[in-house]
Amino acid sequence: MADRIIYKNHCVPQEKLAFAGGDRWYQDSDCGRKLTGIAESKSTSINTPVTGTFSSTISLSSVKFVHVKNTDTSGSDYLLVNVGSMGALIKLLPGESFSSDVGSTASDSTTVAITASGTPDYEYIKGA
Amino acid sequence: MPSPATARRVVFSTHVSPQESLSLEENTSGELTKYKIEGGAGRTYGGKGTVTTTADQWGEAWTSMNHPLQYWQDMGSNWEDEGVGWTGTQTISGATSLNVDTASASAPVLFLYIRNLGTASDQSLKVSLDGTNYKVCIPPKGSLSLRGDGTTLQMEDVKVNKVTSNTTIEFIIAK
Repeated sequence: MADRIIYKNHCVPQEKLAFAGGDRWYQDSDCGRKLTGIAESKSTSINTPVTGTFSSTISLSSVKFVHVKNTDTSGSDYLLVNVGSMGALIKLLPGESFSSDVGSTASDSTTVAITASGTPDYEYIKGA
Repeated sequence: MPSPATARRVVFSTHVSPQESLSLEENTSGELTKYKIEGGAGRTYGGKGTVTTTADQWGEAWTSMNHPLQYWQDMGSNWEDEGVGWTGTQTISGATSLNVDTASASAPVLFLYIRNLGTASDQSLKVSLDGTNYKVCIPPKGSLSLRGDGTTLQMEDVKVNKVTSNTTIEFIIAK
């Protein structure tokens, strides 16, 4: 058997207009529409998903695909994802996730480090 | 008379389907390969969030796109900052910064979305979040969405480049 991962990132940009009687959110008129991209990951091997409560830095190596989610449902604790030691941090508030192929080409891998502010619950999947 | 937006936000989500293959009895060259949810994963995964961005963005180039009913003369004093063509896409043939406004270069990125419009297998896109190292890859037809931490990821840090062949993208980069 061979593994594959199909993943999607979707977003809906919105702008708010204020008017008498109340405010309302509309689809952002600069963007004009929603965006979706769906693709098959370069990863062909899926590690067993891991869940837990954050206590110390989680370091993953040889990663081709990563899905990380802050599984808290409320509060302000958040996860920080550092892909390939770039230093720039991706922030995940409760309920949010980051799902992406990582590594600089269509075949190589890199490292992923997960840290946090507070002790949020998490889940992650590593694809190799 | 157009009214300026009093606030902006982006609702974003991800969805992941881990799958494993099965071969039907007469499968000889892959034409009868079927897929089901991978046994170890057991289900699909995903998450959803809302990023509140700045109402008055750094210029019209904060998104590659234009509303289909938008007129250039309604873009205010920033229409000349539109960094891409009227098609709403940007061709990537080399290292490209998504921030064309030097005044916002060090502003934190609150939300980033990039969609790779390439369809051929050699049209992958690579992304740098530090301006130098490319450690995120977007396959053809794929996309990337993320919330910056409000400090380390700045507008000038976001760059994209082709992996092999030229490709085109749509994007949102919001402070």
